[in-house]
Amino acid sequence: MSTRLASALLLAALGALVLFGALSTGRPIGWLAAPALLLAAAADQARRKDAGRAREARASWPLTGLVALTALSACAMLYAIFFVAPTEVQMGIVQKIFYLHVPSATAMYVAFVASAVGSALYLYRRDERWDALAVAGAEVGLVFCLVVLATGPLWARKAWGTYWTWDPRLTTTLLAGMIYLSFNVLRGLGQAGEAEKRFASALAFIGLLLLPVIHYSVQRWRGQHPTVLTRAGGGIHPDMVPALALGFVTFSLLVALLLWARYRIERVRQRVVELELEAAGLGLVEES
Amino acid sequence: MRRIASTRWLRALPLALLLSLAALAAPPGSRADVAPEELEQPIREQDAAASRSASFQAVTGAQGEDVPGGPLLVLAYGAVLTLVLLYVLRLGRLSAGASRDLDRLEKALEGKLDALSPDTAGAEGATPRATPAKEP
Repeated sequence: MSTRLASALLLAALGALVLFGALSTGRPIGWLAAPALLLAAAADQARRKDAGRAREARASWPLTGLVALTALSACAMLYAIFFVAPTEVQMGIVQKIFYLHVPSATAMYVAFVASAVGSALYLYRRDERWDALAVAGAEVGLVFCLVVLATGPLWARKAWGTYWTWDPRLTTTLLAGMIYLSFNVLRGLGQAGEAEKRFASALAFIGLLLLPVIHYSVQRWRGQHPTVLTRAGGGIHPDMVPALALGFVTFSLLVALLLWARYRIERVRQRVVELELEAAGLGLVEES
Repeated sequence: MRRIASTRWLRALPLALLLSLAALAAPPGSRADVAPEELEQPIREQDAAASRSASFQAVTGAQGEDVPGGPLLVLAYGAVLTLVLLYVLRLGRLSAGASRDLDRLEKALEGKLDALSPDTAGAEGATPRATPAKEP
């Protein structure tokens, strides 16, 4: 795992944009973007093998495949959103924010649950691998929480006439974001010791308790937040279902990809700390 | 006296807990916490309807709010793309930094361990070289 992941993801995002642009202008050359992504990935693998890094190349194949799959799914999602799903009668074109907002909220749940599970198992077993999962989940979940908190107000501006209101779901989501922000700040301040890790794990577990409150707040406390997909809601038009389903697929792949990448980076960082301690024990470097 | 007061508190606590749970478990819309604005809304609508049927009045100020949807949509999709790309860039930087540190430390340790004599390597304080962590 290296900076090539970043370049591959950037390439994937660029490919998605190219494909979307080509589709919107009706030129079939845009379809070349998806095979181009796979070719680029294959070229990267070949280059690594040439450099004598066959083992690393083999290990990164699943990651590259996941990147390509996410990019393809993103392209399909954008196509379904803008060319298949009809415009909503009351909200107009702004309703299309829904196809990103709801799946990103689900991705946020997945990442925060991963963080809480990792934290709980770290507290129980004191295994650094679970701590790496906790860190990855908290950070990736915070990114998706920011996505939710950025797209929601833009929807609200049209629907409610204001960017923000202290609705129960909005407030509890903000609170969950602040809890996991605290986790990240705590773990990001210098080198985390055992006390910081345990305290952060407890924070992640508190955040987990808040997740059902976020989910059921609309039904319990009569907020303004839409309840389209719940039993109390009226559902969505059948032509909107593919866009939403592809949104869920894309964001599930994206959260899995980001969690995986961040987990692997955290494992490397843990190895660095381990080696620093080893070097300090040998008197090779000053212990920090 | 203080003891009696404390037992009262202890008795009151389960009751308060029970009431809180009952309030939480009540079906939506069953509580009388409807905002005054919502109660006043039908009255206002009746007034507006009566006013419309009785007279025509000029608007004062803006004609009414018309929120354009396009910029909001572009902003939302742009925000998602920007946030994800920024995070990917952060991952790239983190990964590069960690790999660089790992390479530096491994080279330093290998060099120093080769230079150390067997007596020094086995001395107190020298820990055995840890094996690379196995990825799950």
